[in-house]
Amino acid sequence: MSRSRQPGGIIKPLTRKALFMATASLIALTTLPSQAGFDAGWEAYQKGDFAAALAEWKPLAENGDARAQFNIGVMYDQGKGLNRDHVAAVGWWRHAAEQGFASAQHNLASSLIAGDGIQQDYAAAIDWLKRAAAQGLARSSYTLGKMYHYGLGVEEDKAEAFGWIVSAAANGDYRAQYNAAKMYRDGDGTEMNYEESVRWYRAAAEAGYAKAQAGLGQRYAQGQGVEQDMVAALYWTTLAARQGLERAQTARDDMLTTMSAADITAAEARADTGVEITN
Amino acid sequence: MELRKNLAVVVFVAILGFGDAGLASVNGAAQFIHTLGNQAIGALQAPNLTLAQREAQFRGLLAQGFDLRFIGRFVLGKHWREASPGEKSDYLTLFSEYVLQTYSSRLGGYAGETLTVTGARQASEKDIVVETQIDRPSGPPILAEWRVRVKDGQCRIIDVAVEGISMAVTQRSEFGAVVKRNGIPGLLALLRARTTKISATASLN
Repeated sequence: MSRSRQPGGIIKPLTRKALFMATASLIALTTLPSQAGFDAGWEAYQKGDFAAALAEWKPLAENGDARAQFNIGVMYDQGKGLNRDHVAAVGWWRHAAEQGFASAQHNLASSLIAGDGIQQDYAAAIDWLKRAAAQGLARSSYTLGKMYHYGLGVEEDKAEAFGWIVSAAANGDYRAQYNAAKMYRDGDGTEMNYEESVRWYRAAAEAGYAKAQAGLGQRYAQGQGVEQDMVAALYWTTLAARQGLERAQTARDDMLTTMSAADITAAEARADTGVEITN
Repeated sequence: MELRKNLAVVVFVAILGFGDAGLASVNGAAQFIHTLGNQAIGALQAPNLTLAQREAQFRGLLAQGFDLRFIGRFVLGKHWREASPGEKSDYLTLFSEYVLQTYSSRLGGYAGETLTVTGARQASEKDIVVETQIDRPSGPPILAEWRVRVKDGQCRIIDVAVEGISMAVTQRSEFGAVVKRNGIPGLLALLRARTTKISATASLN
């Protein structure tokens, strides 16, 4: 039976409209002040006024705002504006995680792995990491990859590990890119592939990761997966050495004893000016 | 003015028990912590940068001042020898990041924070302890003692005690228990978990 035939059929569109208006007003009433409060808290937080940030965020968090819950968890975890309290941090992150807030799912998983404020539980951590990774959080995919790689909370599975790590690499996580480079280099969880290895070393090196810069320098020096180029090798190795990476400093010293003065000057000039080598 | 007053304390303390060489190194260490501390706090107050960017600068400065390789090996203790070369490399990278993150987030970030050198003493044949007070407009001051060792003519921090609790000794005990329970991979997972936690965000997920 169609409800529009009922006497109330005329009223229905009005009711619907009224309902819509009421809902919209309610959303405006609850969302706008909450957004304003969040922003005021964020501004205070950026200025290092953590007490003011907490005063803005606490009521929002208590009212169910996942972002405010997450941030208060961070403040407890780091001891910003209040005493460090891992149990309280985990409590707030759990509230936000259960609402589907990916960053909170990741941090809750991290606490479960470290046993910070909660009993260590690798299996539960993996469950939360998978939920965050499904939302595209690269560092959760990376962490999952490492859990599979070492068999923590799951059966050791190098191929599964590789899958998670390469997925995080593709999503821009520089640690995952460096790990993908090593896995391709060593045939760890995947077929050995020097070209792919160089591609990921380069991605992480360009993001400024010293270990990847050293790795890329080594690839250039050995002509592995890329045409041998000692100027490029010294350039990347120098960048890594300048970040204090000891093995890059040693490798650089070795290169300096065998390279021509012209090549050394060319590489160092590039390292000084930041001009990248594209070959 | 503050520095002059602080150094006067250092000189007095040093003269009590040590000769000229001791005085020079005690003074040098106090000056090193004074300069590093104030540079680091200055970086935290740089305008037009987000808190995360300011903390990254702070970390960079701390990295130059800490002998993280030395601390990392000390903290791992006898387990260092059990680790494979790959694990050692991963551990040192993760440990360095962990220490720098912990201290930049614990000691820094507060508006109007200041660091004052309040004294220094020769703690052992090789080490000097520099005492500092970190003041914040809100909250009680933090008392931090920096253990400094001179190596190849360069001062490097090898431990920090906050409110009398040594970072290196505390971590050595915690890490030892983790390795016993979950092996070196478990310790690496713990450090990875702590260093990949996400900071406060304005983003909606």
